[in-house]
Amino acid sequence: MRSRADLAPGIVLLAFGIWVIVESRNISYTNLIGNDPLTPATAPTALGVLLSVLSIGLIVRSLVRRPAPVSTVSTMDTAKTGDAEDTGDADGTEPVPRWRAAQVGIAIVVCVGYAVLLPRLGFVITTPLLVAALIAVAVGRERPVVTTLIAILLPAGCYPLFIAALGLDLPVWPGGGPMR
Amino acid sequence: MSYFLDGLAASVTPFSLLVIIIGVLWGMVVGALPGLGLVIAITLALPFTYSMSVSDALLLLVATAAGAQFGNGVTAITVGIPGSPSAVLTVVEGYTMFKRGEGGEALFLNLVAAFIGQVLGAVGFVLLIVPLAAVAPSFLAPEMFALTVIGLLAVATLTAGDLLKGISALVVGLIFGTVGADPVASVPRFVLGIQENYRGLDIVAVTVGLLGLGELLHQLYTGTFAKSGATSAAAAAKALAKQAPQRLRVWAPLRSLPSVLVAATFGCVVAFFIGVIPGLGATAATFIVYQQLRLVARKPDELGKGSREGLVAQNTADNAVVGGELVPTLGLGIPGSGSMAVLMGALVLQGIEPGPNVLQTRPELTGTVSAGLVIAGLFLLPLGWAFSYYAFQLTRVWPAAIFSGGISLILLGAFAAEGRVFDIYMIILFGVVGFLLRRFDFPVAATAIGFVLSGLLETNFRHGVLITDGSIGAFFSRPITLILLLFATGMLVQQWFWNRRRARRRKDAQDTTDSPATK
Repeated sequence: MRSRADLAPGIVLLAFGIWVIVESRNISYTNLIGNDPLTPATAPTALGVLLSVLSIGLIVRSLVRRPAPVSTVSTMDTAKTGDAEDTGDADGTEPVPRWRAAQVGIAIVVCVGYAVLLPRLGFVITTPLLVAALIAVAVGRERPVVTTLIAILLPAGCYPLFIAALGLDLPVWPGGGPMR
Repeated sequence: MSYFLDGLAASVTPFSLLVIIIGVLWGMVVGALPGLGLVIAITLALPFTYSMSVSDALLLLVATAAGAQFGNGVTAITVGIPGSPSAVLTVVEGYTMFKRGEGGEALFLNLVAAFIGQVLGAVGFVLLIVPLAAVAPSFLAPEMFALTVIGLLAVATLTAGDLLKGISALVVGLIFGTVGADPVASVPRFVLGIQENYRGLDIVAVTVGLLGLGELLHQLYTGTFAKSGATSAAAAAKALAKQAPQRLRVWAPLRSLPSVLVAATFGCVVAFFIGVIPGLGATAATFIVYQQLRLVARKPDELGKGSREGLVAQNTADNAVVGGELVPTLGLGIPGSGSMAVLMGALVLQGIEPGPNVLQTRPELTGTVSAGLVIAGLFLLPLGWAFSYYAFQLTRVWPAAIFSGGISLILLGAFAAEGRVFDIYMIILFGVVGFLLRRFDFPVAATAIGFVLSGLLETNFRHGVLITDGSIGAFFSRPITLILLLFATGMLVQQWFWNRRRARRRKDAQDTTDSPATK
């Protein structure tokens, strides 16, 4: 379990911790309460230091400790991918193939695309696209007819809930403004 | 006591009852869907609370929790697929009974267990929240600080088998919580020139992103959505049809009633107190109840082989734990689990800051919650009975559609909170963070709770320093505070030793008998 797998997150957290410390120094304030030893920067700085220390701990531990002898990861796969894959799933005994990370990446890009297009093209066009694209990300081109149906019916079901019931100012059609 | 009745009255209006029914149904369906549990059910219900009154919003979420905890168990019994980790043991007992041809009885016991869990959970909630409401207002900043520390450390130590990762995840959450105006002088911090950040990161965007979107992305990563439950659902349909005459044999469980009632009470009491402790939650509750059940079970040798007592104890635990979790969430503003962090987000959005103040200003809400727990339990009986026999069909639902629908609802819900596209971006950002934390085995609930409690922690610490003229003496001279802080330290040390001992034992054993993963 504990192995080199902790190295990468340790380094990222260390970078984040150091960034927090540096950025805390830029917090400008005037101490209004005379004898207050704490400033608005105290808590962020302390947390940044704490995170840095903890992440150094993670890094050191991942370098010093041998990978656990009993691992859910097959040694072959570890050698192939360079770092131990650990799904951390309750019953996930099989290693996760690499392309799954790409799959997650594409799903995230689809979500960001939705956020970009929603205000420009409106709910009616973008939401079915989002639903269909996410299904495609999960399973590829399997069952296109069902996918199309879901892509139409799900947003159609959401429409009365989100726009009619909640009275949202959601851009419905291309060109912005809500259409009532 | 009159405020209590006010809260009760607020939850028996026709609209409120409808809200409870919808919540129970929604929770059952989402809870029964493989891979989706309480947190996602509450997350997806959240947008619909925006236009409701505070009490209706609370009722919807409490009812959703009741339904979800019940729904988890149903597919576990009929198909052998747990709706969420807390139902893993239901598979052991319930599915075994089902395969033995006692499916009708297992489903009935599951339902009764959920009902008992709801009701006793509500009783426990009342018994604890009333004295808490009397005591909590006398807590000053130092006590609140110490309590928050205990809550945070409990979460960090208990959710992770790995202390270093648990505390790291917690600190990341605390850092997210410092974005925006500082709590004493309102000086902006970490706003990065983004106007929206001056108010601080949106609690709904962060909690739903970390726990909801992050979870769905992680399930995509682990391949949950690539599997299909259609074949097992077909088998369940066949088996259920064979067991159809059993539907009417409600009296069958009556024979085992005395032993089952003992197990139910035991499950409730233990699970309730586990719920009160921040950080443990439903999965831990069911496992601990199950382990300890041997002490009181009439037929301990049946455990693991389709034991009625085992089934009932876990399933009462699954529902009773919610009542326990609501105590620190509402009473102290300290949410103990991911689902409670999301529930707190819903309240904050309504302009309610849970904690001792709420017990003073809106005491009727405690009545609403207790009534909601009981009424949801009452509706669970007829709705759940019908649901039990059709729930297995839900495992037929195309996993890709669950994934796509879940994410779409989360993104739309993010937008619905304030009508800002900015919130969609934020939820995606925190979804990515949540995914990465899960991917590398950090307890993401600790991050979410750290974020939620960050402000409380800093405010109370700094106020504590201010009231003693700039020294930290207040944290040592006040006996209650000192005891609480010593307790927190002790907890940390004890957990560290415990983890070491467990690691050594595991090394000795060299077996793959991993301890059950607590969420």
